[in-house]
Amino acid sequence: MRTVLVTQRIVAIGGGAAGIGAAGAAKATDPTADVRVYTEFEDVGYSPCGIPYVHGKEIPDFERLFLATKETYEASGIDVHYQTEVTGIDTGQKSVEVRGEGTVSYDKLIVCTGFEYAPPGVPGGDLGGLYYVKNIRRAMEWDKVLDGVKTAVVVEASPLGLEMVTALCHRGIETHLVDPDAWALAAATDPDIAGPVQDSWLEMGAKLHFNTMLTGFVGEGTVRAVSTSDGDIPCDLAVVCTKKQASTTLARAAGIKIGSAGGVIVDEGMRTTTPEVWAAGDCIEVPHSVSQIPIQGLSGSHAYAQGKVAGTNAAGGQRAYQPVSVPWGMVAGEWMIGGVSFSETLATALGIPHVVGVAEGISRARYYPGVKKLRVKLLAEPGTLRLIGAQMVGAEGIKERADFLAMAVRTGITVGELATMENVYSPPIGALNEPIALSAQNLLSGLGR
Amino acid sequence: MIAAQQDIAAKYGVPPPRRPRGAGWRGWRDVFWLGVYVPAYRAVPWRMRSAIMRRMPGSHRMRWTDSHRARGPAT
Repeated sequence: MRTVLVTQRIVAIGGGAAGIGAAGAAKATDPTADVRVYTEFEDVGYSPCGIPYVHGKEIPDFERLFLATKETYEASGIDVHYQTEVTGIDTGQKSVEVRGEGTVSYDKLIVCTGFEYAPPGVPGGDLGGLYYVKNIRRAMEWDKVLDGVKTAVVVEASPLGLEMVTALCHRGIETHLVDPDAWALAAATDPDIAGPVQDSWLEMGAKLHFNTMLTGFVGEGTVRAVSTSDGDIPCDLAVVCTKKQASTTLARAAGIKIGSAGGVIVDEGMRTTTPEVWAAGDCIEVPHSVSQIPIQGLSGSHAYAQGKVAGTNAAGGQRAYQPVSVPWGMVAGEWMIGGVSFSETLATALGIPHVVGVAEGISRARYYPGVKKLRVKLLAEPGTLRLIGAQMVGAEGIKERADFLAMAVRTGITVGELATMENVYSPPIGALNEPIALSAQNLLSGLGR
Repeated sequence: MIAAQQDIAAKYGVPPPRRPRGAGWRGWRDVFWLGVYVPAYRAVPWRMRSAIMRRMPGSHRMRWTDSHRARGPAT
């Protein structure tokens, strides 16, 4: 039997994308390390982002969302403690309190405690029939419940809310959306981008209640109606899709500093302000690449990349993360929408000076079957004309453009450079004129250049 | 955000956010935010607002190195 000398113990709290990314990177950086992951849930290493698509029947079963088996982690030397809650951190003694295990010491700690949904803050929040989409085992149970649901209310048009409205409509459930804003995803998108999505939801049978305040959940034991500023909506189920808030209770209690955006403060190496403690994922905040203002609550791809950085550095390696420009995209209704950095609405709300260019192009050659319209809006800084944001709606090619434009924002590319960009022309996949270039050209034309 | 949505809704000719009322009306708090805070906020230049925000505690005040962007020929 071969004996391996353990050099250090690295503990990750949380088994989501950040925690598993951190554990894998730590083990890869220092194979002799004792790498432990504590998760309060039954599973790790699955894609919660896929849950709405199983509910919508686009994905046939939940098993496909698992990326690795429990044996895979065992074989790679990562010791995952399932359904095991960490109740405290003592950064002075370098230990964590684990329910059922007592005090466990660490050499390096990585906090990946994720997010919690913001409480709706209305009466009836303790009723049954309120579904918070997060854990896959609960999602499996809720999926069976959905078979008997005739009417559902989705609370808030957040990214998850958009996905759930689409999924429930696909499922044939009468779906109501209640949102206090004037259009869907109003903080991240503009009405000309959200408009086609909302029209397609109406065609799918959804009932949209914008400018409508949630005032309560009504029922005896189980929700039977959602109360709003415009009256009650009878329902069998309410899907609560409120804002994601950083889960920082453990970190805060341990004296790890929290920032103005509500997340754990970290540097480019995901180091917290406390020695030998790193953090990653939805529980942290990172600077925005354009405004340098910290933001919190990003995507799974951000969490995983941050976890890799934290794990590598905790194990003794060197890796740095970058300020984010937040490319995003999703399928909503019959459309794809996406963007990067600021929308016109958000830039206006923050008071960030900007100029705007808009163009409608096409996704393939105009004569090629399946060609779709594609609307691209670009925001640039006045004067320098550096790209600071983009918004898009179309039926294909949104994700790739959002990724490209995120790099353009990060590297300081100007609208002038985008106006003269080269582009792929191939009838099935790209038109002669790239919509991004058309939008940039329109922006320059609007400025008389 | 409501004030910004009103501006953007007017630009694109879509229904604007309603002024909070009924069960959503928060009384003088809404009067303050929409009638006092928003005009005052907008009166401050972005550079000053940005400078104030950047002085608040957070990750942005920790070490973040700009990635090196190569210039000139790649070969």
